[in-house]
Amino acid sequence: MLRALLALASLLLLLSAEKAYADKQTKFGVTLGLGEAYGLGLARVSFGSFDLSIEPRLLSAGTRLWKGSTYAGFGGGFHLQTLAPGWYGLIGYEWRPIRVMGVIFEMNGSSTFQGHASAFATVGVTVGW
Amino acid sequence: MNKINFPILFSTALLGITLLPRSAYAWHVGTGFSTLSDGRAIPAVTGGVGLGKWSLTGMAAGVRTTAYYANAYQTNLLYQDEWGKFWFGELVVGFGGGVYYGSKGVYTETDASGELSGIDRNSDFQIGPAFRVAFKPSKALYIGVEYLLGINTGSLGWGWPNTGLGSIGVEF
Repeated sequence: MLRALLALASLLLLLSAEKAYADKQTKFGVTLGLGEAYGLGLARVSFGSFDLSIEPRLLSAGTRLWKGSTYAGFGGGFHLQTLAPGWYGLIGYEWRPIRVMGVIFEMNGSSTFQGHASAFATVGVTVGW
Repeated sequence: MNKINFPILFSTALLGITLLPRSAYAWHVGTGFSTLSDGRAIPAVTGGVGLGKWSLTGMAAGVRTTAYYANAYQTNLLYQDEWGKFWFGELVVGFGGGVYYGSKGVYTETDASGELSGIDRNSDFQIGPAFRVAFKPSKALYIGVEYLLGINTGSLGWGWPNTGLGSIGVEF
């Protein structure tokens, strides 16, 4: 009985993963990523392909485009300390073993019109449906 | 052993790239602000040539005042792909690796007449993964970012020395 339940659970997990890859774009998602010294480096709320993020330097809004499990994004924002307007670009990979949760690896760079320039890499967890 | 003269090396490499046949390759040239002068609006230049799916890019930035100087040179080799329709334009994405070299010097002493003297020099070398993301609102214009994340012992603490720039430019 226990084995049957485990098999059923595994099957559901696999099916949900397949569905996750087939239907990559989540309707709503939250992503948290590690930053320098393993502190919080990224917080992102996603509505479809629209992202609203707080990164180490930038409060930003933009869009991501997907190709399978990889994605690239671009958008605009404001520097957190000076409020200078700027833009960012990112590339990333998402591994989603189950429908509602995935692991991301992302490289993200930004610049402002007042000369701030920085980039970071993050590993994080995304939860979405 | 002679020291490598990075400004001459970089200029020669850029000159070499410009000698490639223009019609066969995609080019981009831009300007923006680099990590060298983070927080100050000191322009840096960037450029690149597309060799099929690959792109060889470069960045140079520098500043000199009466109290200090700083220079930075970076070159990346990126696998570049058109990512697709994005807003009212297209998104171009590149991923690969690169190298960075930077040097700086700061005057640390004042002589009897009050002039700055005694310079403290140091240099910085980074190697690691690099990426470029450029949004093209039209065929000829782009706005993007290009950065290298250096790999060193600090990476164990998830600290990635980041070098590069955000830039605006033209593609042809």
